[in-house]
Amino acid sequence: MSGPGPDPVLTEVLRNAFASIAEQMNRTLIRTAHSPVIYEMHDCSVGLFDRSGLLLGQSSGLPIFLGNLEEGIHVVLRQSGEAGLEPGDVFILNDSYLLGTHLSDMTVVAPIFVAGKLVGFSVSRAHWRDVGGKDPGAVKTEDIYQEGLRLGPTRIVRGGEVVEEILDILQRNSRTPELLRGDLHAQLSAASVGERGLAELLTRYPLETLQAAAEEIFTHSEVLDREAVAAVPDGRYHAEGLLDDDGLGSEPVRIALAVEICGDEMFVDLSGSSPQVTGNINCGRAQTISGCRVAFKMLFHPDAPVTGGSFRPLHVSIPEGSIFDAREPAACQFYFTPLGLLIDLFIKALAPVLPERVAAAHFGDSMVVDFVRRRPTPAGGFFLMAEALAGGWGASASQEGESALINNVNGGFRNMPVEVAEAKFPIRIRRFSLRSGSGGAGRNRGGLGVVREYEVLEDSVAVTLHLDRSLTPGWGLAGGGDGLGPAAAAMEGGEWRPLTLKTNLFPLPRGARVRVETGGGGGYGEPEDG
Amino acid sequence: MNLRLGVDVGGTFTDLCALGESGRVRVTKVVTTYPDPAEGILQGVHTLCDTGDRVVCTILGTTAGLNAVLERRGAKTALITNAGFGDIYRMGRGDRPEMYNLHYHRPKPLVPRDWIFELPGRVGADADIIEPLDIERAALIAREIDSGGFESVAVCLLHSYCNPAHELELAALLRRYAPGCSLSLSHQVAREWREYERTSTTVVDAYVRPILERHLAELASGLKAAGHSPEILVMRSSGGLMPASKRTLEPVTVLLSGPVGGAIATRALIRELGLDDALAIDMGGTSFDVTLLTGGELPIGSETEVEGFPLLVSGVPVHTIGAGGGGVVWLEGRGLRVGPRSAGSVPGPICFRRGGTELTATDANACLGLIRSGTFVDGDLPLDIEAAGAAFTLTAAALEMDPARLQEGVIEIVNARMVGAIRALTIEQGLDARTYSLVAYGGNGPLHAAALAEELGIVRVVIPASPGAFSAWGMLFSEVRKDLSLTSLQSSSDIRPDDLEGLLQQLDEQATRFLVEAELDPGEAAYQWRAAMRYQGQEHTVEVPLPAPPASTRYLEEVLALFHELHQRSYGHSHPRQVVEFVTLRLSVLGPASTPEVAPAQAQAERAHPKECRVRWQGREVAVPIFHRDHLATGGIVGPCIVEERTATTFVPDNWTLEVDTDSRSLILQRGGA
Repeated sequence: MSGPGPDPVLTEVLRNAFASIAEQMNRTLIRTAHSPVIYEMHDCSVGLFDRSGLLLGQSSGLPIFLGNLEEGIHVVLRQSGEAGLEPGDVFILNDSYLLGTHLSDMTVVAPIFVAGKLVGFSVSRAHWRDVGGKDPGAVKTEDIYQEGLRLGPTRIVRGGEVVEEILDILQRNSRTPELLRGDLHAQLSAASVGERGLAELLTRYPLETLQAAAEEIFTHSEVLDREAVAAVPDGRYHAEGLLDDDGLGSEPVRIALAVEICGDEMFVDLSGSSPQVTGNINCGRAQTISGCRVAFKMLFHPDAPVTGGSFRPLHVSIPEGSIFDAREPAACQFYFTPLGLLIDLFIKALAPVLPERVAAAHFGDSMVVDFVRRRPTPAGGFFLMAEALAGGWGASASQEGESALINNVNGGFRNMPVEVAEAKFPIRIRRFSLRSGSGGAGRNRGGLGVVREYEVLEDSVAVTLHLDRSLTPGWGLAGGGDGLGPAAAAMEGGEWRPLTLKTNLFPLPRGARVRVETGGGGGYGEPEDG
Repeated sequence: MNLRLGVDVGGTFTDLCALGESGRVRVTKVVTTYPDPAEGILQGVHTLCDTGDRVVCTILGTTAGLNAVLERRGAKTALITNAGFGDIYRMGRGDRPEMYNLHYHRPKPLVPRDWIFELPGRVGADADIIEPLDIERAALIAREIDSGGFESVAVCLLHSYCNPAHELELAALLRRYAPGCSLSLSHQVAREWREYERTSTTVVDAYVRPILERHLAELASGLKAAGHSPEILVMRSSGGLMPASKRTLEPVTVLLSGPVGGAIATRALIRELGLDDALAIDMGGTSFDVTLLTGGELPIGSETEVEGFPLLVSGVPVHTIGAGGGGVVWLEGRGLRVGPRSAGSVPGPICFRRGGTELTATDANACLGLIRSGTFVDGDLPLDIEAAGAAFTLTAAALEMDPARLQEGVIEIVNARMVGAIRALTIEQGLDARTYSLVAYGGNGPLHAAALAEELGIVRVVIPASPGAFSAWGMLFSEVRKDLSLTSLQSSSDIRPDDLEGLLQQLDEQATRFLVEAELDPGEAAYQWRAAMRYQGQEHTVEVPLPAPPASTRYLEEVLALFHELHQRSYGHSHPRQVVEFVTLRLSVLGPASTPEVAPAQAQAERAHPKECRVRWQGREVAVPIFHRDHLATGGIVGPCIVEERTATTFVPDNWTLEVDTDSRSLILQRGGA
């Protein structure tokens, strides 16, 4: 250790204060948001940053929003420069190629000034209900222009006042202009909570003290991460797998990675992954890095706080023009689909050297099932019942895989109760159970997927499916077997027929049934006899 | 003399508080006994009572049910569900609360899959019978349960919240073929939709029912044998009381009653002091609990959870963080951390000399001189300050810092974590903590209260009499309560005023039945109506307090207006033109409140001459006067000073003043002097 740094007590007190400010920002955002996806599914994330864009404290509702909010700050700084920022400015942006997310994820970047001096940033990201695009939810898009309005860094607030002309453009391009206005204001409220919190801290501690404590906090995180990486034997580790298609029925889409450990540095190379595709499963660089961070976090210190010093040993190399480097005009609505497989592969690559820490692969996809009546008909009005089904997780050296959990890019997402679905929609659920035999065999068995069987009670209803991971199901480790992949079937007139896993608006008459089965997790270890 | 007795059975200690007709309060503390907590309680009753005393009513807050769940020592329980849905209980809602835990597993279920029975028959969302119940199969299941050694059965069938016919049919068969089993029917335990949550609630109810029945029977017979009345009222998680007869017993409603006693006591205390808004903080050895009381009322939530199992029962929301006196000091890499893990009471802090080897916040308080060997728990627990000091020296060396600074720093960190939790909680509800009074209790609350208040900008701190037994005291101030609910999805676009009235009428009838069973006079009962409402498209609901129905023909309009207003207040926006949904209607029936008279403290003729001790405070060694609480005279004392009593130590910093409120016998700390 190199000499005494700042006071460890003050450092810890300030770390708690930063975390508390981020928590207050997040609760403000959730409490005042208008879109249910924000205040119910917590599809949002906030962070408090220092003036150079390093994370002081964060609070996130989605695993996949892990510590990449700073990219928004960098984009703003690249465009305006620090000198171009004024007190009272707030920027919004959602460009998939800059931030990696789909366009409905809106990022708000607010520089924080105290006494005319830039001292930090508060940033939030939240999923807005609708930012335009060809369909609500933008399924089956082929380019970004079909997915909604795309914004680079845009001053939505100038001199403390909302720029109404910009807001007007946003609202005119949304199917839900009132929700949009409400969600923007919720994010602006969160930003001002962050600003007040940091300003209040600065009345008690000089900026230099805060900055020194922040540096110390970053160092702590960095040391933890470096020690963890250094404990992994040096070497180059590979894994690869296939997504079923790009969502439009293409050939299988290859995902490949190599993880190289060299002392306390980790280099992830995604060479060999598929070039950009026509369907909407392309992912921008920033979210690709987030995906790698999620995998890193699952393996090393999952409980430790994430700060501006986290992930410093993790370097990600993304081949240009690949599916992980979405460029104009690539469609990005389902950007998280390749990330689910990428996270599994990252863990698989390191399995030989971290046998106690890894798990076999999980079922792997968001498993989107939508029942929809697009236009009012004599049978009834518009409705959309959107679900993401859970599946089986992988077994590990010490335990069986858990059954029926949501996938790795989601966390707090909950299934729709049978009683709620049946009361709200013209649907009856005939069966909702574990899918027996779906978990991979092994000394420890993989977790089970689920079976959900629906009956349509009225005419003019269609089903849309977006299920992946049949070519690369939840694989086993250390001799354990693979879990089953997903399956879907429809029954009309007493006969079950398989449905394709990416089905767009398949029409269903009254009385038709649809059965969706999600995959299981991989098993761990050779199955024991008897 | 006739006594009312409040009993708070905790994991380690059982607190008892008796109030006689003279208004004199007596308290005692005994070690909680296992497996039969009644033994310890009766021992405490014996200690409290003089010859001629008779306990006429025992109010019991108990963790017996909770512990049965935590330790998986409940009854052997079977679960009956619909065919095709037997895995619902196992699958839950599919979420992963620990987002980055690659190895996340749900809590171990209380009922294993082999004990879950699937039964053909189906009710639809519109209450129609889609498929009749398979009576033959039901009878077979009932016989299997009877011969399988089960003590309890939970039944949860789809849509029973709107049509319980199948659950009732099945119950009749179970009573016939498995008469030895106790029975929990989901539509009676929680008449609300969402099958997983209702199943989870019903299973917990069934799992703890036989345990709780035994516990109460043992206590009642023990009380009777000692010449006391066997009448027992049990504290619920909602802060209301439940008569402990077999017919009125609702086991799942008592599970989280532990921390609620303090909140009720706070309500009684702030009413007496004429205060409106209070933050009740209970800081014990292992945790820090916060309850927000706004407008002098207890908050009430309609859903809670225990160990990850959701419970559809009314409860006072108590927010807990791991930051008690036992919070462990540790290093994460090079970063200094305190808590959330606790050393508890065993092995406990190093200075307790019970085998603890990890430094805790209590060790820091001991080294700083804020708690003293010889007076801590009246000297019953000597403190090994030297051992704690040696451990601080070691840890401080690893951090390259001064040990004394580390000791103060540990307290600063614990306080910072508690302040952060309170800030997040008040911000979430759009409230300003500075306008609240801080009511601090538990063994460690009074020691930290002023420092927390200082950080939060709060100017008044109240330390109640006997802060260590405050929860037991609070039990004496509650009333009988029953929470009823009814889920019926109704939309404002097509509901008629008659529909709403009809539904509320159903609740009213259930309330009347309860009052008869509990032998209460309906004339003295208070009714509180609420509705869980939302805008169409929302999942979350807002709990809207309703006026008593059916006030007028405009009742429905009034209710909708109340919803929009509350939504505006809670979330900063409302949409009067949007369609509104009623999801669940609720009625809470409250029996007459008991407001026993408490005698004021004996005025002390003379202030006992204070002793002095040296404490470390804000980087300096200072001499601070020490008072014993029993010898504290009325009239203001200017800080800094320390007030000691058996169960707690109060610290008054230098810019605070201290006064004794004679009526309530509490200490009032004011910032900046009076």
